[in-house]
Amino acid sequence: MILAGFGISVTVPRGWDARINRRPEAAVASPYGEASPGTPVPQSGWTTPVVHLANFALPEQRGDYGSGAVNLMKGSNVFIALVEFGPESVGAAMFRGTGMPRFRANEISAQAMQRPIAGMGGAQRFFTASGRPFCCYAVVGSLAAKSVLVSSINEALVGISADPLG
Amino acid sequence: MTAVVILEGIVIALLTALVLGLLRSHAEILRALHELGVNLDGEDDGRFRLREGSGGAPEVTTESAPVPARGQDEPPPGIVEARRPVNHPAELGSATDLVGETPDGEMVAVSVAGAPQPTLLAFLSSGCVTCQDFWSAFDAGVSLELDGREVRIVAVTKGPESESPPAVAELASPVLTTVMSSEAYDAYGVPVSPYFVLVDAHNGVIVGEGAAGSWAQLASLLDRAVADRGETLGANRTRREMFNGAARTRRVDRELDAAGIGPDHPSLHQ
Repeated sequence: MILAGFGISVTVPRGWDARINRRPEAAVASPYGEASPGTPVPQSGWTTPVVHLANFALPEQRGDYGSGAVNLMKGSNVFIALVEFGPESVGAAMFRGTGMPRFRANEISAQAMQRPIAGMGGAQRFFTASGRPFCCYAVVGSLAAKSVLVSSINEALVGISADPLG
Repeated sequence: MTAVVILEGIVIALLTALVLGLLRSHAEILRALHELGVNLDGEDDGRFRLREGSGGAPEVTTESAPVPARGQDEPPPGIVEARRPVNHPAELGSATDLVGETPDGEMVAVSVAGAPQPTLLAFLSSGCVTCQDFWSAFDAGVSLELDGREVRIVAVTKGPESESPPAVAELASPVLTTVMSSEAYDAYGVPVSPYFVLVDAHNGVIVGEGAAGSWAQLASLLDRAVADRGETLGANRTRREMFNGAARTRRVDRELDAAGIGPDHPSLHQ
């Protein structure tokens, strides 16, 4: 099963759910400046695509980094959020890594969780793929099983690709 | 005199041809309706065809769901009879994963085959009157538990080219997944809305499918049909699920309560 949108393609592993979304931009321009002369910035800011991938049923109400979904996870569950950043981030030191990341089990820790949940762990990487800056945030439902769960995260990441923006 | 007889003969011949033509047209309409899965004789009472489990009776069509008395909870005429043209429940086949859009424009992929839990696909439309009860039930946050397992409910409508996303968004539950996908309608051969397909966990086998007129009726039909089945839902249960009878205990308690049988009921102490 392949899900594609906004120049991102996801080969969804069997039994997994996936979403690709880009929040709508406000029609009202921000009063605080212009991106370039004559180009108003929407009040919401520019929005970018977000990919969610999980081996459990994703809930409808989710934050970009998985709030609302992560708290439903069981010990065998994993969650991946791939959040694109704006073009101004291209070339920044934080995004110097290239290509979809692969996580190591020792990277997964409770401290990397956006909101700490007992027994769970996460990891985060910033990188650039096809000239597009991304953050990949991965969560495992059980720190005790992280060595097994991180391999299913990496297998899922193999199936994600981004097209260069035109 | 001869002319009158000849004229009369011609009229009779014309009338005969007309009647034969009407009969033939009627037969063709009935045949076409039958091919579409519509049965007008009213003899087929089953609403949810269920694939028999291997542990029970040989695979036969299961129409075991009792039919409610007319006027109680009966779906409107024309809903019950329409079915996917499958000759035998064993031919229901395997499930297909869903790829489409949510009414809010999010791209969505839902695993049905290989999913960790059984899935009930509810094929609905924004315009059908009978669907309103299901949209309301989903909006109220109904849940479904069969054979002691929580069942994921996914509402499916046709894609944005056939349905209005704002109209579907107005009806869609904020907590249940709604997928807009005409491909899903085609893949499951959905003959009419509302239509329901129950898919087993892990193996992706279509356990049963059919139509119902209300959420209460569907939930009852599913519950009884799965209870009558000779095989448990979700054969690949985890060890914890196999030994954890809490969900089943809750269901039994609910059914006993509904039947008015409490802890002090005399039938429990005979």
